[in-house]
Amino acid sequence: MPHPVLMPKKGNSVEECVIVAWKVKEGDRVEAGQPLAEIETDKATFEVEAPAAGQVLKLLRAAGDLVPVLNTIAVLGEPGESYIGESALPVPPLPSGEGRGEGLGKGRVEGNALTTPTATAVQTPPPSSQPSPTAGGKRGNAVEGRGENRVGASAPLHPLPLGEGRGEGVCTGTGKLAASPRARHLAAETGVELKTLKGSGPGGRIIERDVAAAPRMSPLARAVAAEKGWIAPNHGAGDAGRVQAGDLVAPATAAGPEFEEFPLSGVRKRIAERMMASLQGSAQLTLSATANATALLKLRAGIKERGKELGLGAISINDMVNFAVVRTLLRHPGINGTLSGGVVRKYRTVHLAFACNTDKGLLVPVIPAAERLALSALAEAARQLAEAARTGAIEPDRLQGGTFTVSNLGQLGITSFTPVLNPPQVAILGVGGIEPRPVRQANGEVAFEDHLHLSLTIDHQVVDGWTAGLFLKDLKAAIEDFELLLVN
Amino acid sequence: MHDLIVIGAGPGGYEAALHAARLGKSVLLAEKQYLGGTCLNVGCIPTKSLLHAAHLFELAQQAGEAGVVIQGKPSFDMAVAARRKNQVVGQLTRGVGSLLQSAKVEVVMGAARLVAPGKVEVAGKTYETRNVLIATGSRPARPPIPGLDSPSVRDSTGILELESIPPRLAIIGAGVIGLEFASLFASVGSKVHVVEMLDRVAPGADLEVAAALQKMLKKRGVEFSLAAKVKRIAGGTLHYERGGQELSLEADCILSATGRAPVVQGLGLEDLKVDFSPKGIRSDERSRTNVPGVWACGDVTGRCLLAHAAVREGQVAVNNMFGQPDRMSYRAMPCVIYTHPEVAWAGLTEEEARERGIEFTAERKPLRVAGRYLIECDKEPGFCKVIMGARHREVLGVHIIGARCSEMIWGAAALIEAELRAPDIAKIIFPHPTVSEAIKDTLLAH
Repeated sequence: MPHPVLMPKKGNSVEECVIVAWKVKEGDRVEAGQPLAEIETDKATFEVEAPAAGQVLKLLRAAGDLVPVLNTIAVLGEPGESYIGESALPVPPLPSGEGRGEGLGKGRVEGNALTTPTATAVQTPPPSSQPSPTAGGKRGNAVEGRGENRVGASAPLHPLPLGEGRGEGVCTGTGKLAASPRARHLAAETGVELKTLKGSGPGGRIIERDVAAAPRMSPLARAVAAEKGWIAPNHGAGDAGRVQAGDLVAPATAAGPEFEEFPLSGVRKRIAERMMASLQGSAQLTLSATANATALLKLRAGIKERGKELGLGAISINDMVNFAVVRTLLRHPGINGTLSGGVVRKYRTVHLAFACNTDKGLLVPVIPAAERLALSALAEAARQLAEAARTGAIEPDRLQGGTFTVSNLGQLGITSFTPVLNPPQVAILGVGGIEPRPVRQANGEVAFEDHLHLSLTIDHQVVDGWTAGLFLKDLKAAIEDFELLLVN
Repeated sequence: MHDLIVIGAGPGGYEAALHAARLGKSVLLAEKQYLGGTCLNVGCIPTKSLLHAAHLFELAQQAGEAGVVIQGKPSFDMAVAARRKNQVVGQLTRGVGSLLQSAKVEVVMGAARLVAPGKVEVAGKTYETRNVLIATGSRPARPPIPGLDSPSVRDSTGILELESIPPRLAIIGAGVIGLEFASLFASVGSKVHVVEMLDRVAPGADLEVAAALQKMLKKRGVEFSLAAKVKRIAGGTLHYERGGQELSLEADCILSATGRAPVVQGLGLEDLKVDFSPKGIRSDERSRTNVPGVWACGDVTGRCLLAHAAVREGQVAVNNMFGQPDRMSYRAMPCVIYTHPEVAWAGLTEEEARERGIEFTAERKPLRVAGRYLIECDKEPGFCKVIMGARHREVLGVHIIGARCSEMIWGAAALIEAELRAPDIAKIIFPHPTVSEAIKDTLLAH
């Protein structure tokens, strides 16, 4: 007669144990009392001994499985003996008092449901499709009176049927879903689906804190997330932050491939090479300052108002900054130059390069001998070059020979940034946005005045910080007294 | 300096005041008329009291079938029913008063007005506060119908004061209020005629359920003129137009039940730049108005004119104002029409589900599938209808017509709010024998 081997009940509070390892395999001959498996509760390790001598006919659970106590984990018997049949195996009666009393007042999802992902917000006992002494005992509470009838009912000999997310029952073992008993408890109590979690324990094992950190989800949200692979935020719109279906977000990949690939070529390749060459071939240092922009803004307002009638084209803040840069550079030849092949060139003329965004990427057109141009002419030259750069009509000659570069990101709301040198030039100016700053007035009160952010990157190989500072100081003055600059 | 001043002691206002007081806040509640507001004094409670009396009267007439022998013919005494109604109202409003007292809410009677940010004037005295919750509710709307001020016309407040049963009652409006009074007076012997502008009754309810309700009321003698526009009232004559035809009907009493209008005037909302219109104060899902420190809940927001919605909105307001983030969800708001038979629903109607392009299935089951319904209400062909998502079988809407549905609709609302699916609900135990079993049966129909 076949003998079931049950998961022993080690203490009153233990509801399930993990099979740590089998010490026998199917077909082995065992003696009564021989250790069959090593099992583990939350607290300690025990051995399961053979209840009788015989052959191991079947191991029903794998190492790693969490099995409710008093569930069958193996069958012993005589060789060739059938253990699958309509007639159930005899099951030792439960210890007295076990049938009803144990489960009372526990208020927990019973063992079998512990690993079933759908046993969630509604913690009702599972249907009676899984008769087991354990189940009978635990349910004594819910179906009062019926519990007793189940005591002594046959133990299931097959792994429980799959279906409706319920029969998954005890984990399939084989390490596929490694989770600590405490994690499983919490998962069952809170309705967290273990398979949606990433374990942070040893070997990726899911531990309690992983479950605790998981978002709580409604059954529908869980179903939708599982079906569509959508992601739950940590907090949802439901009660106490519970995630509802409407909170789920499609992963970025849902709309198409996660990325597109392009070979590095053309303008982009040139930019890449030059940027790397710049950063690897020079000693870059950036200094920053702000300049009071009141004069610039006032002038621009005047031009906007009366420019047309005076026959002036559009003149932007950027044009004015360029103009101030050109004038200031004439007095700082050390900033206006190049370093190439061990030779430093300090220019007496300013070939002003300016960064220009185009569809193909960054282009840097050059306005030659910019110091010869009045403000309006400088603005017009910049406008035409930028237009040509954007349409792709710019001549290659116009993209080289610069002695100093200006890059302006102020219109994007960038306050300040670190520009990268445009080799072989030894300096570049980054122009940021205009922001109000508190300024103490002559009468001691504080007023807000508009300031422009300036950042100057120099090649410290040939330009000293002091030299650069002097340039920035003069540039700041030129911008602040822009009208005087125009008089000159 | 108070933590909160609540304006209006209806369910939204007094519950919010109690909630805040229980959180240890200093709360002042200003009320210009009566504790309990419309709901307790001239709304839900008195109406339900009279409806209950009318229902008992009907049952008494049918009692013989169940083996209860009543000597002579039962009759209905409106005056006694009204007395009972007034007793109930008195008991409940006194209850509110003692609740507020024991929670140490300071109650001030008088009209309140926001005079400055954080300053509220009540009965000539100015109080300072960190928060103001406006819960001034609504009053019966007065449609621009010539002759509406005729003495035969009453609104939902005035009709509660009737001491005798009008032989002929005309009702303008087939919304919840109109239908409830139609049911009430039809039960006690009035000849009721309902005139409604829309081509359906009970707007907001599932159309199929609304049609069933209309049919059942019709069977009890209520006449309906739908898609009809009331032109004028002259004495006891109601003139209306339907399908291009000028029609009229005579009545001893005319009930104007054309909806309710939020009470937004005289509160000083303009001065504080609170965003409002005749349709109500605009509030968000956290019960905030556009002005920091000014909150609103209930009918005055014009959003959802139900006492229980107001209570929850007030709770949300209080939670948010005292640092506990909370938000209102309207997607499973339980709604009830206390006619005989009752109608109750929560969640989406079939029409709404269709409008939103949701893939759904609609399941129906007669309530007779539940043994208890068969025992108690076999005369009413009530049914349960469930709207479920086609893919996951989650419950989107539950609609029931038939006795006792008002008492179980909260459960349906919970199913929807919890986003439970039919397979999840299959695991919930419903008590037997109860009418509520019909919900489960409908859900698990296939």
